[in-house]
Amino acid sequence: MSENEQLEDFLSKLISEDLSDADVAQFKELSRDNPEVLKELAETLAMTELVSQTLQEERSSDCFTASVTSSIKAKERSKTRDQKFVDSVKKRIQHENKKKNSSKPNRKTVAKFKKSKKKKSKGKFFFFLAAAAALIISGIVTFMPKKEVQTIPELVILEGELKNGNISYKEGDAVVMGTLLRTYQKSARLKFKDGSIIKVGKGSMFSFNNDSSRKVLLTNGRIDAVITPQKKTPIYFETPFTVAEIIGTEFTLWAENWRDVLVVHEGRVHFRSLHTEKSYFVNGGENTTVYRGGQMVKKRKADEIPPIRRLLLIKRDTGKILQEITKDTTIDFSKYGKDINIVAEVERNVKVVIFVVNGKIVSEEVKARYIPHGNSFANIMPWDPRKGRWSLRMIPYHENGKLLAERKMVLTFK
Amino acid sequence: MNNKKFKNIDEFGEIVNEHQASVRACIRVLGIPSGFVDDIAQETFIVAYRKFSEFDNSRSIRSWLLGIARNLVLNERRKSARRFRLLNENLTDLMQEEAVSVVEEFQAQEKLKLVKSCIENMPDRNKEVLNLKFEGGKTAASIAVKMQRDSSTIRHLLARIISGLRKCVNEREGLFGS
Repeated sequence: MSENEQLEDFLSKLISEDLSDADVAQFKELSRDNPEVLKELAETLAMTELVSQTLQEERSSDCFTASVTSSIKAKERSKTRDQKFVDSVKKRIQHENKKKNSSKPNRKTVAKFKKSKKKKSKGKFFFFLAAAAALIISGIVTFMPKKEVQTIPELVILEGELKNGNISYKEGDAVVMGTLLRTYQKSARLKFKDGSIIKVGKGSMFSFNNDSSRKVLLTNGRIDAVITPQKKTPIYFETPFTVAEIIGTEFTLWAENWRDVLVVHEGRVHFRSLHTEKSYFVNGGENTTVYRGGQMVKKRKADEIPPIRRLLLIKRDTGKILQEITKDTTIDFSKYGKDINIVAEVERNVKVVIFVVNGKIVSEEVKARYIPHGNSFANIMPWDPRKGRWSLRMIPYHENGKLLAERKMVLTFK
Repeated sequence: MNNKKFKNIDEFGEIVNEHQASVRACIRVLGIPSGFVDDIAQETFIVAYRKFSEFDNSRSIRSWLLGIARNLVLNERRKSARRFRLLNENLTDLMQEEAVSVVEEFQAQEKLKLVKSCIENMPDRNKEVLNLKFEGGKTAASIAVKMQRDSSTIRHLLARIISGLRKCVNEREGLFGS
C-alpha cells in the first residue's frame, strides 16, 4: 500500500470512528517518516467537525453558544442555592448552640439564688413550686405531638450506592435532603415515603430540595420515575434547563449537556423550558426534547420505528397467519375456531418480550417466535381465552438490555 | 492579569460564538469522538468563564481557549475512569503536540461559513452519504446496508468526500481572501 493509500485508509477509519490500536500504531510509523501526515490528519478531523456542526442542527453555533451561556447561568444559580443552603445550616448550628447555652444555669443567677436562699427562707417554698411548674410545662411541650411539616418526602436507597464527595450512602440509608449526590458505575433505585420510586442512571448527579418546593434537581444524567398520585402539590423534576411538573405518572428524564429528553410512559407531565419559558403538556407515549437553545421538539413514539412491528393472529398447529391484529380487532371464534395463538413480530434488535395479559405476566419470551402463550421448540401452545375483552401489554427489551417502547392493546374475543 | 468583568453572561456568549468552532475542532483533533466533543467544549468555556481574570491580555484568546481544551482532553487521558470519552488513547498522545498549532492556523470559524455552500454544490449521492453519517448518526456499516455497498467502500467514500470538502473550502477561502 502506498503512503497515500495508507493515509486514506487510516482517515476513513478515523472518520467512521472505527479505529484499532494496530491502526494507530501503523499511522505512528507513517508519521515518523513523514510528519506532514499529522497536519493532514488534524485538518481532516477539524473539517469533519465543521461538517458535523453544519449538518446537525442541534450542534449549530447558536445552539452551542446558548447551551454554554445557559449552563453558566444554571451553575451560577446552583452556586447561589448551595451558598443559601450553607448559610441556613450555619444559622441552624448557631441557633442550636445558643439554645444549649441558655439551658445551662447562669453562674450569676445561681449566686443570687444562694444569697436570697439565706435571706429569705420563705422563698424556698415558692421557688420549688415554680420549678415544679416549669418542669411540668416543659414536659408537656416536649411530649406534645408535633404537627408534621410535609416537604419533600424522605428518600431511602433501595438498591445501589450514592456518593457525596467521600461520604457514601448505601442500600437502606436515608438520603439527606439538599445534598448533591452522584451515581458512578451503577444506577441506584430510591423510594419516597409515599411509595414513589425513582431510578437514577449511572453517572448521574442530582439533589433534593429541602424546602417546601418539592424539587428533585437533576444536574446531569437520567432518572426513571414512577410517581404515585400527589394529592396536594406536584413534585418538580428540574434540570438546569427545564422543569417537569409531576402529579403522578411514569416517565424518564435525561439531562445531557446539550439537551433534555422527557419520555412519558403513562399519565401527563407539564414540561417547561427555563430558557424560553415555553411549555408543553407531554402525554403518555410521547417524548419531548428541549435543546439548550430552547428549541423544543415533541414527538409521538409512534413516529419512531416501533420495536414491536405488528401482532398477528395465527393458526396454532400450522402457524398460518390468519389476520393482523390492530387496536380495534375483534377475534371471532366462529370464524377461526379456538386452536389459535398470537405472535409478535419484532425489530431485529429486540431480544426479550414480556407479555402481560390483564395485568399479569403470562410469558417472558427470550427468542423468536414471540408468543404470549408460549411455544416449545417448533410447537406453539394453544391459547383458549374466554370470550370478552383482554388487555395485552408487550414490553420489549433491546439486546443490550435497554427497555424499549412497549405496545398496549385491548383484544376482544367473541 | 485581566481585570475585565462581564456585565452579563451574554457578553461572554459573544466570545463563545466567536471561538466555539476552533475549540470544538481542536477537541475533535485530539481524538474525542463526535458524541463527546460538545461536552468537553462546554467544560472548556465554563472553565474559561471562571478563570477569565487569569487570562493574560497580551495573548490571543483563541490560544488560551485551545490550551484549556487541550488540558481538559489530557485530563481525560489521565483519569482511567473517563477514558471512554477518548476514541483512542494513543491517538490523543500522538496529536497532543500538533492539535493546537494546526487548529490555530485552521481558521475554523471562517471555514465553517463556507462548508454549507460547498456541501450544497456536492453530487447528490455524496450529500446523501454525508447526511446519513452526520445528520442521521448512522455508522458506515448501516449506510453500506442502506446503499447496498460494502462498508469499507462507504468509509473510503466518506474520507474522499471530506477531503473534497477541504479542497473546496480552501479554494473558496482563497477567492474571498483575494
